[in-house]
Amino acid sequence: MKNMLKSLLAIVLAFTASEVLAAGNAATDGKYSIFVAVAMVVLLGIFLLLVRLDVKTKFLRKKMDEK
Amino acid sequence: MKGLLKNTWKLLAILLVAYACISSFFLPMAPGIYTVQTTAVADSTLTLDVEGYNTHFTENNTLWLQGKDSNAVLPFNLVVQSDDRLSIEFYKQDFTITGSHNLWVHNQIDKTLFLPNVFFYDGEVGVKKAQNFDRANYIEPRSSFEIPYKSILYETIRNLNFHVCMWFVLLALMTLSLVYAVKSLSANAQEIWDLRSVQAAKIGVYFALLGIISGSIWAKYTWGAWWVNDPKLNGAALSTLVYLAYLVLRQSILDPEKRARISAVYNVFAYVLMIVFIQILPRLTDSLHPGNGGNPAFSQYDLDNNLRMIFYPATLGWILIGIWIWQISTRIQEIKNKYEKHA
Repeated sequence: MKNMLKSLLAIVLAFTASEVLAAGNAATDGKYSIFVAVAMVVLLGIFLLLVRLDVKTKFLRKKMDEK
Repeated sequence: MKGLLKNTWKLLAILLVAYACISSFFLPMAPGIYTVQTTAVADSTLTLDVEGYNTHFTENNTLWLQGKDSNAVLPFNLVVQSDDRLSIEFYKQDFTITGSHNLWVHNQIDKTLFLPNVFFYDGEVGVKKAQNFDRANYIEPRSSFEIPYKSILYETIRNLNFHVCMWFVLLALMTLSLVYAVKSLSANAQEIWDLRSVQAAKIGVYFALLGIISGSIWAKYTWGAWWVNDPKLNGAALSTLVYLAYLVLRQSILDPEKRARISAVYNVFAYVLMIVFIQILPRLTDSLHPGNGGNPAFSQYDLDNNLRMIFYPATLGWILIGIWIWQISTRIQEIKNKYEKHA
C-alpha cells in the first residue's frame, strides 16, 4: 500500500513536471526548459538530502529497537 | 505555544521558498526585442526584420533607430506580420551618422522596448534636419510585477532564484562551520562544537555541488559550454575541493580530540580561501558572472526592482532551509554518537 502510494506520487510529480515543461516550452520557444532543469536540480537535490536524513533516522531507530 | 514561536523561522523559510518557487515558475516575463535582422538593402532603402518576445506588435507602434548622435532615424514603412514579428523600412538618406544604432519600439501595452547595437550603418549619410519627433514622449517604463526581460538570458534569468541562492546558503553554512570550529578550539565542550562545525561543512559542500551542477546547466545554454575558464567557476570548484579535503582529513585522524583541533584549524584556513576564491579574486579580474570584473550586476541590467523582490526573499528562505537541514543533521549525529558511546 505504502509503495503504491509512493509510485502514485512519483507518477503525479512526473506528469506535472512534464506538463509544466510542455506548456512553458510552447509559450517560450524552448528556453523555459533550461530554467526548469536548473530548478529541478536544486529541488530534487534538496529532496534527496531530506530523504537521506529520513533514512538515517529510520536506521538509528532500528538500531535502538534492536538493543 | 512557546515551541510554536520558537519554530516560526521554519514556517518563514517554507513560506519564502514557496513564494520564490511560485514567482519563478509562474510570473510572466516582460516583453522584449529578441532579434533584428537586415533582410534587404536597396540603393536608397534598407529593411529590418524585428522579432519580439511576449510583445504586442499589432498595437500602434512607434519605432526609431538611434545612433550616437541625437537624431532619431524614423522608418517610412512598417509591416506588422504578427504580435511578435514586424518589418521596418528606412531611407538611407535619413541616417546622419555611420556606426552602431540602437532600436527603440513603443506601444501602449509593451511600453518602451530597447535593444542596443542592432544595426551597423556604414553607407553615405544624409544632412541632419530639424525633427518634430520627441523621443521623451515615447519612453515609458513598465509598472507591472513581472520577470524582467534580458537578452541572452531570456527565461533562464529565473534561475537566479535557485542557482545563486545555493552559493548564499554555502556562505552561511561555512560561516557557521567556522564559528563552531573556533568555539571548539577555545571551549570545554569541544565534541559538540566540532560536531556542529563538521555537519555545517558537510551540508555546505552538498549545497555547493547543487550550485555547481545547476550553474553548469545554465552555462551550457548561456555561454555554450558546461564549464568555461571563468574565475568564479574555478574559484567555486577550488573552494568545494578545499572543503572536500577537510572531510577527508577528518577521516584520517582517529583520535577524536586531535581530529577536532586539527580540523578546526584547517577550517579557519579553508574559510579564508573560500572567501578569496569566490568573493575577492573574481572581482579583481574579468568574469562572465554579473557583478564581477566590471561586469554589471543584475539590478543594473534590468533597471527595475522586480527581480530583487523575488531574489532577496528567496535567498533568505534558502539560507533558513539550509540551517534547518543542518540542525536536523546535527541532531541525528548527536543521537548516533550518544548511542554508540552507550553501546
